[in-house]
Amino acid sequence: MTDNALVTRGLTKRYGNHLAVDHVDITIPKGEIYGLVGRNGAGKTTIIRMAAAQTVPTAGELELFGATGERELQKARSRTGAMVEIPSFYPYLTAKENLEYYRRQRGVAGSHVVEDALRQVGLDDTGKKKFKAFSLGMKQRLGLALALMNRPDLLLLDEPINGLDPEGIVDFRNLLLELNRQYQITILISSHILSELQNLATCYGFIDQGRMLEQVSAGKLAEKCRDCLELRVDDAPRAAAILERQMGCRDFEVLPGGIIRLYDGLDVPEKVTRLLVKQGISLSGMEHRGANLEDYFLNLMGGVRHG
Amino acid sequence: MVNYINAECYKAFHRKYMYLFLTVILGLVAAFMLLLRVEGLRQSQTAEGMIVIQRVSVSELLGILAMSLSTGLYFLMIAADIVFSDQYKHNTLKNEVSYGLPRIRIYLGKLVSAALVAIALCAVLLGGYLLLSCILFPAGEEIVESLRAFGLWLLTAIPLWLGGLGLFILLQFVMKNTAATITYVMIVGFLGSGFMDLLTAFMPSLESAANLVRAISLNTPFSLLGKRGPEEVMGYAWALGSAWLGVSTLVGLACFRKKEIS
Repeated sequence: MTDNALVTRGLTKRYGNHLAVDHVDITIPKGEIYGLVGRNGAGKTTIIRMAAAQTVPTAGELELFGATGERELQKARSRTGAMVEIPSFYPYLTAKENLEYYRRQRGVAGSHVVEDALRQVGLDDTGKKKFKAFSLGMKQRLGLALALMNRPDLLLLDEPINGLDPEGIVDFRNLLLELNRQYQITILISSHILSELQNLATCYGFIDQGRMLEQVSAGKLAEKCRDCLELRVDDAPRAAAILERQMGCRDFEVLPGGIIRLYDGLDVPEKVTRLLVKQGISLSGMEHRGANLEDYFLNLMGGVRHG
Repeated sequence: MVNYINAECYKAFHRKYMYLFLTVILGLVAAFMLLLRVEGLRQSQTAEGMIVIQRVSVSELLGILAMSLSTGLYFLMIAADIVFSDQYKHNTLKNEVSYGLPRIRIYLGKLVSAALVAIALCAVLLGGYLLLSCILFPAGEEIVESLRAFGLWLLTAIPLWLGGLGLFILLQFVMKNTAATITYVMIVGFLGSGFMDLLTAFMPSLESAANLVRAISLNTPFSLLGKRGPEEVMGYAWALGSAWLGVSTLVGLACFRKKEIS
């Protein structure tokens, strides 16, 4: 019995000359909410599409609940629910008819599961309204209802909160948290709304230009996003060298635009100021701050990390 | 597979498109019958020189229907379209593959479902035609023989329709809907004997190639039916239809196996 819901090893996808996903290794333990973070075009959707069999990997291996071969993976996918990009359904059918179609196709027993799934996402009162008349938020909810209909063990969600209003986002988040806590459903979720991911994820994978930059647990990330002293100087590399040499600072970041984030020496800001000014460094600003997921992500994309 | 076909039939029978199509065609059939009822009187002269005015009979109407069975090659596009339902336009195939349904099951499920819907449509249309014929026209003296002959024509047409259906499903899986329709009409229509006759009239050097195309054209058995009768053509029709169905299904499965689904 594996403890992981999803594992990828060297997962790669190439479209012509473009390497969309480049040897990505992901491990998602059962019961986790894994937030996949990256810019547009970083490869998040392609990874989820490969996990959902919508596209075939060029190289690498995918493992779902311990299953790896093509047939075993197909079987394992019946334990997943996927919502990739904008949910798609037949426009001339109602919400109930669309779900009933998929229920029959998947051989899910009992027509009550359709009503249950619709109730769970708050779409049980849409009556004869056809899918084509649905708002984007309603479409997202129906997509989630389909993903939940077969009581999955793993949810693959690509940008699921796009198009939801603020109230819808809160409901959606609460629903995912409930599913995770109550039914131990593992969730892989990508979103560019990082503040939302921060409210959900228990671990993160940061991806850029198809490559996995870092995988980190929420606890570890919180530690990394700890308080710092942000300095704005005219010559950041030199200032960093001075701080390292003369103050013994080991844990700091040098960011573009003459910014240094100092994690050592938070309690002696006046000493830092004095030292830099004495060495002829022009200090235009100093701020005590803590990073959030957004800052961390931006730093990871563009900053140079030491320590 | 049974679940898949069950779902496809559920969807097909929940589409207004199918009922609209049936209403329009049955309406046209009814209009045709009423016109024949009013105008369809035929004069003939007996050996004694008497002029007899006769109404068109059911037997003759069956003959007309038999002659028009080749149009089924085009009508089957409606059945396939009802089942395939613009999957690429609506991006709904992703819901099927992401659940782990084997692509072979998706492909064959659509093919079998389209065949079932086509059979249902065919039964309703032929039934409507026969029912109206029997209500509005006299049976005629050779009704039993006409029904038997029509049955043989139908048995010859069925494998050709299935071959056409296999081809159209293949095109639907690999192309956008409109492109699939145009390509199908071009393959079925332009590879027919008539077009080849025209082509070789202008370019006689293409005769041997044209003969090959005629031999594999789904239209050829239909054009032979009138000249030779179903008994002679049936074997050829079954071989040809089965070949089209088999080859197009194998090609379709190979193409769909690794197709990107968005």
